[in-house]
Amino acid sequence: MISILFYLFPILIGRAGFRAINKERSISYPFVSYFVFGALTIFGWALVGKYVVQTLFPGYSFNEIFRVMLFILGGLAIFINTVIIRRIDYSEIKKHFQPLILSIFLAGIVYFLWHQNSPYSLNWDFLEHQTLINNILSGRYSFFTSKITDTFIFNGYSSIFHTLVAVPQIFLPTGITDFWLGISFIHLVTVIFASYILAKAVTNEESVALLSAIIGAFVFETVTFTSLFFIPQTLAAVVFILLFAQLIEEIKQVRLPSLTLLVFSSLFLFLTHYVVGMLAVFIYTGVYLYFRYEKMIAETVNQTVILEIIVLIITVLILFSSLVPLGFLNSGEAEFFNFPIGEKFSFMLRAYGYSILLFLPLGVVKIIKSKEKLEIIAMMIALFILSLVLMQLPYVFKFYVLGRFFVHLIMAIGMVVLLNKTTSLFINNLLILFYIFIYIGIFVANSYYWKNILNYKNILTHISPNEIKASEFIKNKYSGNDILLISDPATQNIIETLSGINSQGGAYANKRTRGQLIAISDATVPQEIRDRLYLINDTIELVAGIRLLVLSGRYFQWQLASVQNKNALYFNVWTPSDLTYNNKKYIELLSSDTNDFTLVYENPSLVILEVNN
Amino acid sequence: MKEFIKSIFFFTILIFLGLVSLYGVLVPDNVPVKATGVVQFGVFKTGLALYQGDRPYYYTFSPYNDYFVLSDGSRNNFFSQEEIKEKRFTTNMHRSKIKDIRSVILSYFGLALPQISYYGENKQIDYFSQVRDNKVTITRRFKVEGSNSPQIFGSTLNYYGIDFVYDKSGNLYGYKSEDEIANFAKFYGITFTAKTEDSRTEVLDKTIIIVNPDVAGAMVVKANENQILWVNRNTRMIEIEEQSVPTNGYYTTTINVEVYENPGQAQNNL
Repeated sequence: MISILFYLFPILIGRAGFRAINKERSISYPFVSYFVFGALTIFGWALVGKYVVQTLFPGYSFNEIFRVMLFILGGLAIFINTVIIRRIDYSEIKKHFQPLILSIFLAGIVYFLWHQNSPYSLNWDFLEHQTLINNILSGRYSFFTSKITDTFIFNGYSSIFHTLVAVPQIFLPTGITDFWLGISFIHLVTVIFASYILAKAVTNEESVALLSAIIGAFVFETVTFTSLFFIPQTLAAVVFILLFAQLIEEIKQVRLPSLTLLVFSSLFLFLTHYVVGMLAVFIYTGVYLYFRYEKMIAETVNQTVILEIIVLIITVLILFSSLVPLGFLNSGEAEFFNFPIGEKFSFMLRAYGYSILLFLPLGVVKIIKSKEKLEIIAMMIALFILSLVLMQLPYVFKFYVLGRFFVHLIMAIGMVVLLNKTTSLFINNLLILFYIFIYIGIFVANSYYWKNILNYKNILTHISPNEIKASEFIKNKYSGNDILLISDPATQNIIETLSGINSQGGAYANKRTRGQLIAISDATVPQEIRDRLYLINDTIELVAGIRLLVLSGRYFQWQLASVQNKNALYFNVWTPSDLTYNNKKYIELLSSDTNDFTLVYENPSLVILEVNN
Repeated sequence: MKEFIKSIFFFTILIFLGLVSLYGVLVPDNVPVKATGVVQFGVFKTGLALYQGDRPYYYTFSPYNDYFVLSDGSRNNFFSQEEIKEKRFTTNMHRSKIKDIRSVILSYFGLALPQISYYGENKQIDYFSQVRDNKVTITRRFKVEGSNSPQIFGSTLNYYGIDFVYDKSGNLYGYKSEDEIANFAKFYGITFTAKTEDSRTEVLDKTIIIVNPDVAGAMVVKANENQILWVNRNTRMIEIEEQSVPTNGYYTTTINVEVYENPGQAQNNL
């Protein structure tokens, strides 16, 4: 439950400070602006703590300073909220009560289905994010993620996401796996809620909003992971959609959010995820500016010509994007995630069945016929992002994290065209219930497809109970020591996160580390293996202490892969694996050489060896 | 009335579109899969198989290997090499997308069990399974049209050359170096006596254990009282023979396999 502090704390701070920047008037969906403002305040506070306070008081670690600053900030926020502002707008809460209950209900169904036989989070990325948070909690901080831990080799976003996630963990330390299960559920609720709010804002129709929420709940795109995985890009998407809905509501009331709000909102989106945030800012400011200068644009620019030019550019990009060579980028990861159109079509079928092909065109036709301005804008955004997604460029699929909300809205409009033809309320409700079951069927089939490979001893998981036990052992025995954990990238990723003990790069071990691990697989003399392990080191802060070698079932499976795969960032052994007879023979070879290795822990999935210095 | 008919018409359209939507989902090839201890149990074109994740070892119950013995003593596979090569049979795999979707949904909740049926020119072979925790029972039904009735039926489970195949008395059916035997004893406390006189040997205590050095866990094949268990080193098959009389035209036989986390645990449960 402490996961909810991730949202509540910034909202509390944001509400307290909001009056200072938006004195003159109220705004629709104020909670999203509170969150944005509060989040930026906390992040700014952390940066001040790191770059100003710590410079002035170098004897204190960042985490000590940040903790004190948070208590001051939290105390101030509580004081302002309860003593100075006091007034709570119950009408605002009442307005959102029904969609919120609906979102919690749908999220409950989805979560129940998703976690069938899966007791742990299935979000692989949470491990690397939590590793960064662990580093923040132990006093290492920077604006740049790659300067906090070498698990992040690429600065795709600032550390705002991790700073915000660290806050509840600073206030109330909790089990990592439980925390991520909790926050993922709340995130799912917000995704469904955002789907509803957007549809309601654009169409003003309850039935469109309801259907959009249902689609949003059960559609799980297995590349962008919008609904079920709480990661920077999905947080940016939800906040963007709520901001967009807020903008639409303001437009409907013939006013616009202040320029200050626009700047703060854009800053938050950009800092949360540079690429996705940039597109979000582009769309958000584009629509904002359009309505700000609507008359002038209508008088001076031929909008049809602009539209034709945009369509032409997108068509050219779709046709020629596949010719760009990408193999050199990011150890082949860029090329790996550059899916051909056929594969993208398969992803779509997995997530939607044929529903997108049936209802999206229907929605488009309805919008073109009705000529409702807001619906046309939503449709253009949906089609624009769909066009981007179809391009054969790396990572463009990520843009669907924003696009899906608009696509679902158009699909819901298409469904309501037919639904409105039935005049009976009973039949309408029956059909909505029927579509919930249809989407449950699609979701279950999609989940089966995705989770099927994660079969480990009757559960479907990335993490095994034995890995959790081993991490607890390492945490208890080695916490606070200058130690480097070494294993295959997947094992490093899991055990580094759960134990808090450093590894070189976690799942993103660099080429040098991978090279040493590859060379170790060919070595037959324990001393040579030991020497090579001491050539591996952290790239941010050198580790002088001993190495802990974790030989897991995964490690041995990883060593069986081709050299190309072992060097690739996209390749991992995703499923836990127990030790085999041949693995035990190798372990015996090392552990019997007590000069170089000391066996300190073993269970059916792995052994831990101290590598003697 | 007109409104009512219109409502019913669009109701039908929406129901139809909903079903079409669901029909579009993709289903994986080998559905259903059932977790069985440390391994998975799934359905493939060649039969039902026990396997572990991405490891390239499949322990298969297959009509390509299963056989029957006629009254004249001749041994025949359910499907001859010619029938297999010329694909003179069909299966019920992926015959119906609707059934596949149903199977995926049931399998997701652990309610579907691996099953496959083969339809030859004059025969039908069905493999059904029951899975309870780490125990699998495969029931095979065989129906054949023709005058020469089979007398004995053989169910098979393949193994690999690298495997340790032994019985509960410690008789090891295959060649292993002294180092390997010593290591096995050290890791799991099980000592072996090589039993390699015959290429096809009856296992008198009706239990055989298979340990693949590259797969975690151990598989135990247990024969019933009315069955004879053989290790055939020529074909690398565990063969279980039994006599069967037809019921409603079907000859029914069973094979029981238990899966354990390691050979030591398997030994303790024999």
